[in-house]
Amino acid sequence: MLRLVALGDQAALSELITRFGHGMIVLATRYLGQQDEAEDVVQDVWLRVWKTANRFDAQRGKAKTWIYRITTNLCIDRLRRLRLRQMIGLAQVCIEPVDATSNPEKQHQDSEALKRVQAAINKLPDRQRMALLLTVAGGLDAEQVASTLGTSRGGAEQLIARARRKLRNSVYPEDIPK
Amino acid sequence: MKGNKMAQEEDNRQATFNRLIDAAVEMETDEDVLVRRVLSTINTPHRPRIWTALLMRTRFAFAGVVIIGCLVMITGYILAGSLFMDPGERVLAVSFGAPEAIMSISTPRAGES
Repeated sequence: MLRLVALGDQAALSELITRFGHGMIVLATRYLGQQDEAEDVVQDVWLRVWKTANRFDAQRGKAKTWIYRITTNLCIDRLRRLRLRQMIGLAQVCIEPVDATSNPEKQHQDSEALKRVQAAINKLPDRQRMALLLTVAGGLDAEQVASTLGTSRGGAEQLIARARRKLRNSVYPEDIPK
Repeated sequence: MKGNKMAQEEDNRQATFNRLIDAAVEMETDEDVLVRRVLSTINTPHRPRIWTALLMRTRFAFAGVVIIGCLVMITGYILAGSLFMDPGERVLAVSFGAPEAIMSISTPRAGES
């Protein structure tokens, strides 16, 4: 598919956006905490994919991993820039929980636990948050997360396990060993 | 029997927890809007600003001029300094790398032997 994109096929690009766009927007929104910034980042990712698709080497990994690596890098850059702007007083970075769904029934269900999990996700260290979001929002496995974050498989598994442990402790605090 | 029940409870808790994480992360998005935005950006002809275009075309020449300009300024500074310096300052200049040959062309001033 990326080969077609490299040849200038816009239908192939649309197909890729439809396939991966949702996961990328969710990942970027949960990582940056601001949906408008996240949409800008994802748009930048697709423009970069359009311009550099010819550089993709299928032997070095899957297209999905390559696209998510670009997303991850741009998200990290954007968060760094947002924090800098916040530091000099030009912007406010507040990673707030974005509404999970517009379905009121689902929203009501376990809303307290849901809020605790969302707050815990926002408090995770950047790398752990990114690893967790890549698995949950992007649907990547540990091997793909490792390739996306430029770490070993063991390192990626550890990041995900630590993140999940922290979240679990926030939902079931009684499970924390004393 | 008790062990089985505990394992079952733990499985249920884990399943609830997994659902909670999915629900906490999940949100509604509109990929069609994204497709339209990306395609419209791609299809809009991008014309760089005149200064950007000029700088991009002449970036190596520009870098060369800057480097040569800096070298000329440094040489000029050393030469001018060596011509109008006090002996004490000259020693300092030499110790900072100004060549002796340049120092020797300076004109001795009043009070110098």
